[in-house]
Amino acid sequence: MLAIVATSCARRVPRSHEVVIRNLAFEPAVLTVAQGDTVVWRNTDFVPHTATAREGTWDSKTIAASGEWRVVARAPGRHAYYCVFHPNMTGEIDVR
Amino acid sequence: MSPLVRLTRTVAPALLGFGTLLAGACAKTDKSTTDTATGMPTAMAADTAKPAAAAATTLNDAQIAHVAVTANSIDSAAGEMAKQKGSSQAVKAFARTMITDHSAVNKQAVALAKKLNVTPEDNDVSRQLQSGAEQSRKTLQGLSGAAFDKAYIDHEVEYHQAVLDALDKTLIPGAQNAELKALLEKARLAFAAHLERAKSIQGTLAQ
Repeated sequence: MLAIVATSCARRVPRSHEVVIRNLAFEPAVLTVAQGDTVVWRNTDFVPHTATAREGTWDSKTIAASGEWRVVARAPGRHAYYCVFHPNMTGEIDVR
Repeated sequence: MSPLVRLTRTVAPALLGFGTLLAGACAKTDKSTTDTATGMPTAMAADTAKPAAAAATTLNDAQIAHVAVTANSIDSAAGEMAKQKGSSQAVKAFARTMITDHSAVNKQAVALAKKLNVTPEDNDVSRQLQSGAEQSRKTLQGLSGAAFDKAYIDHEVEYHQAVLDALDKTLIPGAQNAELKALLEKARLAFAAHLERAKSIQGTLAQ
């Protein structure tokens, strides 16, 4: 049903998706979005974090405590990313 | 047993042991067995028996807040030194994380203390932490290159382990105010991540 609607629309309306940074983790760890959608990272921790794509596609630089950063997902594919300050924090944005 | 007496019996030895542990962090310590009651190395437990009896302190929230701020400030300062003197990229990056994280937690701690109208109160545990930190600083100051990196990371592993132990055994259980307790619990998550990261860098430096 959704596929029919999607293909019949001349242009899909981009959506916004949220990744919550909570307790030193990205939630959700893997997020699937469509090209042209926006991903917003919202930092609910006390400490600053980053969302840094491993291939260098995008880099939030420092996202302060209570801060947020957003990027428009253009390049298709699976983009692994991590937090530069806490390298064990990892996530993935899958752009379809 | 009144809560106050119970607190004195458990908090004081554990925290004074923590201070002593930190003071010895950069010295060569034996990997001796641990006292299951306090979680402190038994080699330390013997040393802390006298100080604990002599100065049996209970920690109230104002003092717990002071210990937390002191512990953060110490690691932030050590990070500043490592940012300058560190040689490998991993050590320098870790140092930057220590500075940003411990400053951030302190900002929250100070804001909470203000909100609760609590003035962080100096105490024996904070003083022991400071004197331990001063000893470490002197040792690290005299090193450079790979020797500095190794000593700094080894110190950070021991220090974060000691802070986590203190948080788990005394500071978090001892905190009366719910918001203070919640802050300490959130801080604990960051410190656990620091320990994990320090250990993995330690592993690579050992090669």
